[in-house]
Amino acid sequence: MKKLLYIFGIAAIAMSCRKYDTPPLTYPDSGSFITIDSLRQLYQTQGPTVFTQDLDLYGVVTMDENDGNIYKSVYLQDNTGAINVRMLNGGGVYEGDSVRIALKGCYLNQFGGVQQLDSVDADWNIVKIAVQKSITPEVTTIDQITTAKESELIKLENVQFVSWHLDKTYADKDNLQSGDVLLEDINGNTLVVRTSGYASFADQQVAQGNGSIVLIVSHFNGQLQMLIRSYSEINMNGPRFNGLVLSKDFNDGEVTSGGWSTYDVIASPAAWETSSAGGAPNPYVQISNYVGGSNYNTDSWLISPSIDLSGSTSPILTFDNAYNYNGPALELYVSTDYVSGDPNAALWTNITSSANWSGGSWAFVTSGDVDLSAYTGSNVHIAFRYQGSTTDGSTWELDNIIIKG
Amino acid sequence: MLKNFSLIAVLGFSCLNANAQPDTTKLSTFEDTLNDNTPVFVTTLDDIDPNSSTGNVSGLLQSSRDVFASTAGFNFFAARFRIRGYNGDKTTIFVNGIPTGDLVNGWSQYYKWGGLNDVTRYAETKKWLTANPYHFGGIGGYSNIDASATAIRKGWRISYANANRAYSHRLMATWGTGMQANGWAFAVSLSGRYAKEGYIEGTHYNAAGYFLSAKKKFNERHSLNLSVLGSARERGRTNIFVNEVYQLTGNNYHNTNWGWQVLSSGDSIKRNANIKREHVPIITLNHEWEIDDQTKLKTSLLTSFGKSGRERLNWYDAQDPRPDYYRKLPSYWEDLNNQAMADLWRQRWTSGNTRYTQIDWTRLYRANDNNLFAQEDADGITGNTVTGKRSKYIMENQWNNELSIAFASVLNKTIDKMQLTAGVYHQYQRNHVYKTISDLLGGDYWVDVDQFAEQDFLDPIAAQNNLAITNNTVRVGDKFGWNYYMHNHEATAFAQIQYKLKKIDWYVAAELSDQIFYREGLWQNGRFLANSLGKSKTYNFFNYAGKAGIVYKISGRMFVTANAAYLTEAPTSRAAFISPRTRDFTVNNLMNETIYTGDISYILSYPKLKMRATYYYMERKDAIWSRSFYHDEYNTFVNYVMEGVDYWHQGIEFGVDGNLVGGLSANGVMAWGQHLYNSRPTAYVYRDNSAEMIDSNKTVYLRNYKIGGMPQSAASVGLKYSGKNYWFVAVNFNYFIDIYLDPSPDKRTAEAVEGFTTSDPQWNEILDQTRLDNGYTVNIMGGKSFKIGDYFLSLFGNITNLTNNQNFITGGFEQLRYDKTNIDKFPPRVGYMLGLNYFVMATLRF
Repeated sequence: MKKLLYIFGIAAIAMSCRKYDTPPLTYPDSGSFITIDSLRQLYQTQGPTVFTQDLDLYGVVTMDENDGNIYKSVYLQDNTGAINVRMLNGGGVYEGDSVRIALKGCYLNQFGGVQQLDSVDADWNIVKIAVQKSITPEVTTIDQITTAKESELIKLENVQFVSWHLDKTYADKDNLQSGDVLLEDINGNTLVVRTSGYASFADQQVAQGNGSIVLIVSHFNGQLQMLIRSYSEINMNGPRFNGLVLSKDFNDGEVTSGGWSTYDVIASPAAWETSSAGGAPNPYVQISNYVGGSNYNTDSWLISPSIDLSGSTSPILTFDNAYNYNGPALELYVSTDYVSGDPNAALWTNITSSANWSGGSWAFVTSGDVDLSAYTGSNVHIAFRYQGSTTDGSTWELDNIIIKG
Repeated sequence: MLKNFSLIAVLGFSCLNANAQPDTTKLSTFEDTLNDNTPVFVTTLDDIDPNSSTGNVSGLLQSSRDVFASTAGFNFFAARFRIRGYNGDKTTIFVNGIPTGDLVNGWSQYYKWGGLNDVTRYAETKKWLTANPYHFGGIGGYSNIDASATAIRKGWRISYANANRAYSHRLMATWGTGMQANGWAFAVSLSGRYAKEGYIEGTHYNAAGYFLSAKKKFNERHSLNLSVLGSARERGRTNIFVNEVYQLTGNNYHNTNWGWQVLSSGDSIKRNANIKREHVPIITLNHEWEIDDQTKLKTSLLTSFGKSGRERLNWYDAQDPRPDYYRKLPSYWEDLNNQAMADLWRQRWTSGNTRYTQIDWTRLYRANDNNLFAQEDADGITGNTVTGKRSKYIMENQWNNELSIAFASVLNKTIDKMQLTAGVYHQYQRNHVYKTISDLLGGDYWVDVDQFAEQDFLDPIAAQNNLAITNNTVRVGDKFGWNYYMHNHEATAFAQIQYKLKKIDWYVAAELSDQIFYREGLWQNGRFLANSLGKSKTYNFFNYAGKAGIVYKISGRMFVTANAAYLTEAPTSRAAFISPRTRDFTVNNLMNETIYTGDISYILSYPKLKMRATYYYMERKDAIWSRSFYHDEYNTFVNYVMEGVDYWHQGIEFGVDGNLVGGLSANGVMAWGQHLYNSRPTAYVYRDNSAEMIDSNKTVYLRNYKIGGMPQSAASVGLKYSGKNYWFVAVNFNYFIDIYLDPSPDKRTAEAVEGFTTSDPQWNEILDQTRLDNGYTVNIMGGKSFKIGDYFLSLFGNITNLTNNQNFITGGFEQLRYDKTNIDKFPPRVGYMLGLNYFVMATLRF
């Protein structure tokens, strides 16, 4: 009896849970080595490729999913280039990880013109070699960024978000919609920063000041769009330079987006519309009174939103223009009292002569600097007035309408 | 024999830790409730053995003699039948006269004495409204386990049982001295239960129970008894899954919880990823004082403490490792019109490749092994970098460790034909709820941060589970995740008068009670800086209850009885707190529940014919219902709380048992019931990882939906033959009717059918309650007893589901997550009744 109790006692005290050993684990075999640059060239020659051989890619992760701006995806860079790596499942690969990617079983592909290493099983193909091997981003300027830098890690200094985006958030978190905001440098160059609605910082107001930002270069079929890799790397608290107060490039294919409007003083089938005809890389706006084989009497205005020049010292307007066919010249106006609707209800100053105009034959010229210093401290509208008669009329094209502070 | 016994007992103890508290906050809770708390009155199937029919208790409605309960208990168990549709919290279980309910959720805690059948077998049991000599008790009756030294018969009792249910082997040895001339009585009972694998694949079972008791009778007036009873158990669990899993594997009992773990020897063993462990012994000290021949005072102290836990997988920034994750099922891909992926997953499932049909442990280890990581500012120290393999997958222990202290004192006084009972009772219970790392699965550490918070909040503090040690790198045995106490007090006073006359017996009883509870957070959580650390507000509820009953004796063999009760009940701390793991928020309008109930019976009790017919009625008002789950529309974990949930039960219980001819008797049992939701509760939806209330005052149109997960009605007919030489054999055919899936509240809101009109097929598809097919079973049992010299040997066996009916869905639930744009995206989870299963036992007494 006692013995029995004793044994039970011991058993009851022993709190020995079963301990399991780590089972034997296998990793993908090593094969020959390929650089990111070679991978890109491989795509140029072969197109989409499935890897069936043991082949290893080495690199350092430059952007991970932690901030939610990308999903099931990381960016990888070596000393020859960078590539977007899309994984079958998310997680477990972090910025600064030095990894070997065993390419067997992965795909080389592209989406929107961006090359991707696709179908990478993060739990199998990616072998971590070391951590905290972060790549220092290359400091560059907006005008240096082209699609040739696709997927690379860069840093911009002395940049700021454009004035009319300062009340925006990076994206629409409530509706999980991506958002675009525009960066500018002191030379008036601009760059789109695109943020996912799933990003943890999507609901944050854009940085208000001037400073530096770390970005991954991306694009959609050639249209550049940068990715913020980490919210903590937006360091833009410095005093702003006098940046752009207006930018209308019609690249969204919309005439009236951003608060622009049109008004026909005389009813006419002629209309302001966007176009990419003539091999333009992206859309511009155009108007013509020659519709269906006839010319129509036309007096049509393209009017900007109200532009606040209160913070500007020497505001300058620039735009590109071109025309063809005979007709009245396009006119440029500025008003300080226009509200909306019929432009004839307001007082407009004709400043057509301040700009350079196209010599015709569709030849685009830049307007040169149109000085708006006289309007510093005011809210103004600018307007382009197109006119035509039943006997003649030109086709006018406008693009890249910019006002700098 | 003894050697054998201790060997198995030791095996049974290979792992002694513990849990059983189903955890309130996750979806799995609901599964737990279904699987573990199958609210049937009998503790385990093997409680039903022929020895128990020689009970030592008297009373008109004593269970083993009650024709309804004795048949329903054994034959309806497998189909999750619940007597009167009540939950387990409506029955009070006493040990040596002291209530043992869990104050956190009100439920009885059978696991505390599991396996000690030699001790619990003779429990005094009444199953409905009745007078109660110990306490006011629940409306579902009471059961008192007499765990004193004199409750065990003098001599030895050794039994071995073999079964193919939860366990395969059971060995019990019980020894008692009886009351000796020197005034001492001693008793010991030991029990071991073991299964390498139960009926369902991958479910192992190790359990050991012990009972030690000593009683000293000082004189005719005073005696003192000390008892210790405990049961340590570890078992691998199964869940219930969506039907697609069963269809793909061709196995209605497929269990995705286990997987092959490769050992260093190269062998593989089945490792379960969902293990429950519990060991919460009870110690009681009882003093009995016969003040005079008509007056008795029983005073008792009870303490119960131990560990109770669930070991399960957790993962961070990694794929869901569960094979039945909805994106791993072909139906998910078919809904997306991605036939290639659907075919791939179908092929993976149907090929029987355990990498896909079970947990792929090797993959989890490998993912951890490859996850080299440098945690910066680790362990609360700025600049401290911990580099190593950060586990993406771990096994964690979720603990809910109880410490209870209870005091009860009951005075019984007989004055002529009147019996007066009065008692006071107080219980304090503290539950320590926290997590520890059980196995890092090959990794070096786990970082104690909340992944959802990390994604949702910019502030890195929000992800911290314990602000005292930010970015804590935790290792095996370390606490992490959450850490708090839940404190509960219950105090009651009751009085009862019973009067026995020639034609009429009657009783009345009343109770006053007070419940107090509060949370005490041990950690400050980064998402709830002001509401996580320290003591919460104290919640106090005062309640009263009354009941009365009458027995009219038409003759000594024919009775009519009637009982009624009205009571108010405090909400439990489990229902009151919303996600107490992280914060001290409670339900908006905490209020007492109100219950009224009554029954009326006609009873015949002839030697050759026993019959009972009862009508009962019960209404329960203003209950709280809360669950936590991933809400697809809100893209986050939510706590879904309904206030003002009313329940309504009515039904007829009928049982008859009569001798036909010679040793042949027949019995029949019928339970017709209506168990319904009876209100339109108001729902509130809270985000789990922030203080945000996502939705409020949402009306849930639940009235007249059936309470699911049990047959509303059931019937049984049987024959029993008792031979002259102490043998018997019995067979029963059982039929179960009106089984429904429990309705998901979110599907019964105006929002759920927004955009549809009544003529759309979706309208009814969303709102209709799923009714399952009726089902049947055939059960047989038999036994024989021998007397060999001074030794008594008895053999007993039963077979449940003799026809091996494997297609009977006994319950399930609609998933709480619901996608309006794809109403079939989350089909219900269902469970099938076990196929043929048996239990055989040999008992030797000397």
